[in-house]
Amino acid sequence: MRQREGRLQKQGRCVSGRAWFGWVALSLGILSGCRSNDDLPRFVCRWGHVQSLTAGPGNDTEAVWSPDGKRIAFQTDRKGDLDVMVLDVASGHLAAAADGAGHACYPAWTPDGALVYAFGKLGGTAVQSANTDCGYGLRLLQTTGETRLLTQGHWRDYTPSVAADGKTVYYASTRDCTGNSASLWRLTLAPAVSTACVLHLDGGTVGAVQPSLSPDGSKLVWAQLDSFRQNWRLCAAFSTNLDSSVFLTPSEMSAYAPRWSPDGRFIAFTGFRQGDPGWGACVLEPYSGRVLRLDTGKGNTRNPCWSPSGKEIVFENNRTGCYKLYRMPVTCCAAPMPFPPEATPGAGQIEARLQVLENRAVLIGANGSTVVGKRSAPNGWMFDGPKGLDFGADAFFVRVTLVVDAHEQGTHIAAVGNYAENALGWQVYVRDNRKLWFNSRDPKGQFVGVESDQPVETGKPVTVLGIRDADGTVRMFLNGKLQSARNSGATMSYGPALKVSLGQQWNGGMRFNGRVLGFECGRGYPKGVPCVPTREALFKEVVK
Amino acid sequence: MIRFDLALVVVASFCCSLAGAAERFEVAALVDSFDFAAVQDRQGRLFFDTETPTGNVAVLDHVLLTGANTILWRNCGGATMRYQSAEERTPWVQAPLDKRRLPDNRAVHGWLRYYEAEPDILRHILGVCHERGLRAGVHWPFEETHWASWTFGAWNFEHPQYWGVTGKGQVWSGRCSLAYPEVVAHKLRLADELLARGTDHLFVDTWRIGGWSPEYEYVRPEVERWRAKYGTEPPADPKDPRWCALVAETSHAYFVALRKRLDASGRKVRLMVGISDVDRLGDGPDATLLTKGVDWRRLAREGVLDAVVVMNVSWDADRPFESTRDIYRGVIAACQGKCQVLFPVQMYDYSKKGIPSYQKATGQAADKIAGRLLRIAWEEGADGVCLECVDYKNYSDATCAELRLLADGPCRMKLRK
Repeated sequence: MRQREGRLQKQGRCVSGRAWFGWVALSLGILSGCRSNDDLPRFVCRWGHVQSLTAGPGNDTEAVWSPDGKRIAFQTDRKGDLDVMVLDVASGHLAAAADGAGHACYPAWTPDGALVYAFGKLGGTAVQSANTDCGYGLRLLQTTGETRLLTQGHWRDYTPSVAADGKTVYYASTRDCTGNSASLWRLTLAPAVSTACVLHLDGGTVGAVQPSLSPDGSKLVWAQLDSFRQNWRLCAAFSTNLDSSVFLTPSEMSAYAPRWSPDGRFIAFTGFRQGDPGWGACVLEPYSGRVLRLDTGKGNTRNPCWSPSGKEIVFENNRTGCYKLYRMPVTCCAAPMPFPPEATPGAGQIEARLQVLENRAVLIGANGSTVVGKRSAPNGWMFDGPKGLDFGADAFFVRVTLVVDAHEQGTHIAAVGNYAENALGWQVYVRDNRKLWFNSRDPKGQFVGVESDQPVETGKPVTVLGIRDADGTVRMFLNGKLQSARNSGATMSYGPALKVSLGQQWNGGMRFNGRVLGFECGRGYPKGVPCVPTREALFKEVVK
Repeated sequence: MIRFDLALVVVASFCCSLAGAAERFEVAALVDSFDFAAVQDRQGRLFFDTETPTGNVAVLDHVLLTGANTILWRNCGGATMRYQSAEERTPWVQAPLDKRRLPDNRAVHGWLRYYEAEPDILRHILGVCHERGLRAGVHWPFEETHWASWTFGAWNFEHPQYWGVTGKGQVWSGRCSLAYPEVVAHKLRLADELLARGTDHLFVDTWRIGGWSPEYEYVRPEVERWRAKYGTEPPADPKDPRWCALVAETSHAYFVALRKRLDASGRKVRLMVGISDVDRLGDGPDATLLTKGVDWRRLAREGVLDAVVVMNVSWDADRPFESTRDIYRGVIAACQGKCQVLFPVQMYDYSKKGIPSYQKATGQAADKIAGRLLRIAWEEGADGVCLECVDYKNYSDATCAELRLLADGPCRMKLRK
């Protein structure tokens, strides 16, 4: 039996030979001492030998264990396009579940042994089928052998997972997406099929894929990509509010395909970080964020999925040249975490607020200090050295109420914070596409921005709220509504602001064709906007 | 009309070859069939079914209205190949069959499957170009993503161990590092696929680089090479000229290997490299070295390249054409006659240095500017011009007429200085 201990950002140092008796109950029965050099309670996984499950030509992937543990469903391209097959674990017998022309993929079991899967059959060229259905929809292969159509349209529904109660299916869908995007949807199976978008993401490259509901139904985990420059990361939220989510894996790592352990204490996923030989099966202890990479031998290992007992995983590996399925005993344990004192929700503080009296504009600081604005354009004000906008790497917000009088070519600035670290530290502006933007910066000063869902109407006041979270996420609310674009990596540390400019760029250019009616900027979160949940808040119940 | 033009070209070429002196001035068109795919009329009827031979021939016919005599057909978007590539493992590029690739959701564009099209698109269209007596080649961006997740490649996804790494240890799938021999071997196998489809001209476009820069080259082999060379840790600033020069050595080795691979094909295949943001050249590193990690001057000097294609130049708004000419002279001097040089007649204005910006600076019409740029290139002794890219009617009828007038008339043959 092999064992590995969890680590956070730094590698835990193992000291051999030190007995540690917390895991006597491990079913695999071999004890070895290992202790990390941090103060966290230990997180240990032990695993055994890899056993081959499938062989022959083609790639067998996306395996999922049936609720009774007797069968494994997977997709295979052994006949050309993708089909869903079912392996009888005891006998090794293979049976086709969904085959024939078209791609049948991403199988997911229901508690009663039926299969939900994605199916698409694209006929002809894109032009030939432009006005006809050629999407990927979800289907239900019932235990009677009948197939029921669940969703279908000119979009792509994929990576379904079924809730433990069997009543709902969470899945990724491109429905209503316009960019390079995918959102999360929920489908109710009974009494009648109904669908609803539960996390709408849209934009340049932003999406959420492979949602997985925790066994108790309280939390959803998924893989999210916020920009083509970022990595896939695991994200989690209370299933009642997916808009407030937390990253579970670091930005340095590529991580996708999360699957809950049956006891809801661990998440298996596919991961890669610098120095790894390739893709690997990883286990995350979500409360602390510690990650263990399991040793599955040569080749890429992907899509680990727990057995119903939680004592094994099935995964795909390409050591033979094709991806084939394998199983491996795994047992993970984590000691209870010490609970930090309940943090008071971070009350935001407005550090600068605009007050306009006749032809005089003043930025009022949190302590009552004032900076008088210099009129630098018909609708523009410049404020030198406003205090309190040195947010460091913490969360901050910018709220601007504005009216666009007319749209023009180019970029037009409503508000900008000018910093030594970056002249355009944060900005609120309107672009050629008539949409509003908010941006912050990454540590190298690169732009990290989000745009509004729709073009902004002229002549109507709108309130833009841009938020840079402490984890580098960038979000935007428009008139109180969270917009579907997301970005991440905006972790630049802000020193004191050199200037705040309203209605124009800090150097006087890019004048705003409209009026700035209100402006607030501060640290934390403004009143009424919930802060991003912490990992501790999200997962403490699991650890208890 | 096209047949008549073709006959003229054939006769003229024959005469020239008899004379043994002048060579035809080249008008190279970059063609991205993807951009034609969603062109439609007001009733929503789509003009070009670019997954079919008929559709692509229609694209070619449209492009030839510019007077182009070299066709450089785009082989990929990022690392998704637009032909039946074995190296990039079709057909699972199709969304959503690889869930790591966020789908393109645009009508038509998001549903194209060039990698499955029958017959093989690239083999077919290069064959058509050959039949028509055109120079037939491939426009290959130096990228593995085209700024969107759906353009990431299958080989890339399967080999994260070769991905780029930032100085802070963040892995990035945007491009595999050429510092690994396995990555170079992969690229060369892709080049083999292009050769097998009949390309006679391989144009590697370093402007289209998918967001990559030396910033993502803090990979183990490069870091170790730096340590061995300088005895220190690599600089934190990825724009450090010494770091960029180190990365450029790796790119250089790749281009040398590519040159050898093309030569090994047994036929003359021209290696062309596209460079951008070209300013007056001094002794220091230029934009291509600092942002793309490619030392094109060394490549030209050492005879690795057959042609340098300038894609845009940083001309001066106060003296648009004069400063353009100055920069052209510098490039020609830098190439020392060791390779051909093509200059831009660029309708797109991503760089803010294309024809629309010339229009803004001079007040002249696009067709006149196009003609003027072609003529400057010709007068300075260039081997041709490059039209980047020829899309549906982005070169207006008047501009096409002006280009044809010059390229078939006074600028037909290269001016030898």
